[in-house]
Amino acid sequence: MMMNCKDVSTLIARGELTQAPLMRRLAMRMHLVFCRHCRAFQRQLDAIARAARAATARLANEPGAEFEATLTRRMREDPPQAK
Amino acid sequence: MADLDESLLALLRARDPDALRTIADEHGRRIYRAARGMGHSAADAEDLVQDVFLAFLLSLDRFEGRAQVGTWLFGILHRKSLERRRAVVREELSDPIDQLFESQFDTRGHWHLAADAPEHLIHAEQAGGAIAGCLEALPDQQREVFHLRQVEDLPAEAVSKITGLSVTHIGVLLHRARVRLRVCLGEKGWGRR
Repeated sequence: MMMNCKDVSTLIARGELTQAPLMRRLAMRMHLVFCRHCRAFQRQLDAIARAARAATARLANEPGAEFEATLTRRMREDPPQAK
Repeated sequence: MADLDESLLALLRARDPDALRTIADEHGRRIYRAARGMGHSAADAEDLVQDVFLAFLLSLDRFEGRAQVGTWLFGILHRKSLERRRAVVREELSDPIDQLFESQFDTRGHWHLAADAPEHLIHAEQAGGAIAGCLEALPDQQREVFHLRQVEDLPAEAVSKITGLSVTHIGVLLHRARVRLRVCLGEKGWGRR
């Protein structure tokens, strides 16, 4: 089974590397061994994910320290609604 | 993500303070981060988290023992987020980003060599604040799927349960989000030497 760059990069971007049938996964692995452009594309998407996680980590100082206590109080005090 | 056992469920139904605190401590900030990741402001995200946990308490009778608390909470967050935006976001069947992606390949499906060489853009550390603006520019559904799949690292099947979308659709949305982010970061000169 031959796969071209478009097939491989589409599978990579969809996050379907592990779900593809075995033969397809093998063909993709083989393609990646020889194609530096697809390897770079894969590294690039990994880098974007790392950057997004780093951006989210910057939220570490929010919300404030009272967040959990306030949330717990709201859950205790909010009267159960009629179903 | 821990499962809820029957004893904790009973304590939550009775609104036992320690049990409530346990749930808030274990999941509150994660759900808050996801709300922020979906594009809600800090104040809106705090309100939304409170709505999510109140709805969670009311839904305990429907809680499936096999479900994970985190997945259940993300599902409630997904619905509350849509309600807050007062619209069900419909993803277009076609998206211009698909054509842009296609245009990067020749007729045999190989990368155009003339296209921006991908390795020019691989340095995540250089992305800095640039990615925040690119994330904000994503369509809502793509942004949510990207956050759940790539930041929360949830499998496609879990995101499918949370959003009610098929696993295939999740893949399409993730693909569009990642290509769009790549284009956006490229336009910002990310990683260029």
